[in-house]
Amino acid sequence: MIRIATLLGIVACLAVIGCQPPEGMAGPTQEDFDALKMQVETLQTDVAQLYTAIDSLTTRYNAHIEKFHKGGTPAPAAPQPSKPTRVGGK
Amino acid sequence: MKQVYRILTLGALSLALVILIGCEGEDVGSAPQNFTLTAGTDGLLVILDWEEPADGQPDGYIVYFQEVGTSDWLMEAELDGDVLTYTHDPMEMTGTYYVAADWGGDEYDSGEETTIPVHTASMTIYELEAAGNAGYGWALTSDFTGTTYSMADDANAALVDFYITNFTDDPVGGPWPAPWSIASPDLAPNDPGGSFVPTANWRQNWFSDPITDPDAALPNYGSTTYFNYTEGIQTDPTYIGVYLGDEDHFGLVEFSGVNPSAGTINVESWFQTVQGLRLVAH
Repeated sequence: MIRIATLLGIVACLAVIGCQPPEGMAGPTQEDFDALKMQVETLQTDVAQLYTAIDSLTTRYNAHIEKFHKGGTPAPAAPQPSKPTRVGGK
Repeated sequence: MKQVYRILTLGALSLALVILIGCEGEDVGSAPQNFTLTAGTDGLLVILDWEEPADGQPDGYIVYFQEVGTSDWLMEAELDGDVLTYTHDPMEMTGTYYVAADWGGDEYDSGEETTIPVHTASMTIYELEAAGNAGYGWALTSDFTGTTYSMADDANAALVDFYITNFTDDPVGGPWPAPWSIASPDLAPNDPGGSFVPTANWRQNWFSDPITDPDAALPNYGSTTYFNYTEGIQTDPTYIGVYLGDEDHFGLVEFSGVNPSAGTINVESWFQTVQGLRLVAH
């Protein structure tokens, strides 16, 4: 009786182990999503800093043009958000 | 012999009594089950569906309707016992329905279902850049009442059904000049005054032109009737039809009491809980 129970236990363990998906086949985990979210947030911060840097450079470039190259072409200003176009439902 | 007659009489009376008591409650009859309302394809007709009572097919069914603002139940239709659906044209009115199963003249009533829109009392909402909640949304998974939300929090992206804006980058502290608009939340991150609105999966909803009769059926959804925003809500009062495309629900909002120097406006709403139904009489 004990032998049968032990054997059944071993079979159950093997079945559980055998049912585990192969490594890398279980789809993305929560950790993967968290890492991706962090990357996106970092990218957003980088873009915001990039915009700030471009604004600063543009200001300094335009000041330089104004001071040393009177009549020169200033850098174009970044487009500002505008009122959206009114569109109908789909 | 007399004794025998007495015993027989007593026995007969007892038997009659037992039969009478035994027959109590044998009147078969029960109410229609799983009574529901859905919208007809045009959004104006109301389709009533139910299932046969637990006791089987009754002699017939009677459909009752109580129009919004009234207290009388009107008999709308008498149907055969094998009919399990009825289409009602309420003539753009909303109201409450129930179906009674007729069992030999006795009526067994289903529960009541209504097309009367859920009303949310007037509350203050702010222009996008003013110091308060500019978003408004209905509780689609609970009681369908309206609440205001901040547009600065991406956690609200799934909850906001519209926001208020003048599509201008206003000075800090205002004023917030007209014209004001009701707009789809997905426009907010690119709104001229929406630099603080986080990029998120904001909902895309649709808005009618101003409506003159707030009790009439809303326009059917289409490319010439609903838009991503509608301007001019500062006119007091202004009624706008709202269409939630993802859920196929209609609602009516009323704007009043705009205050451009405080950046506030009052909003009151009526939300139709029956999917696809355009009726908002209240």
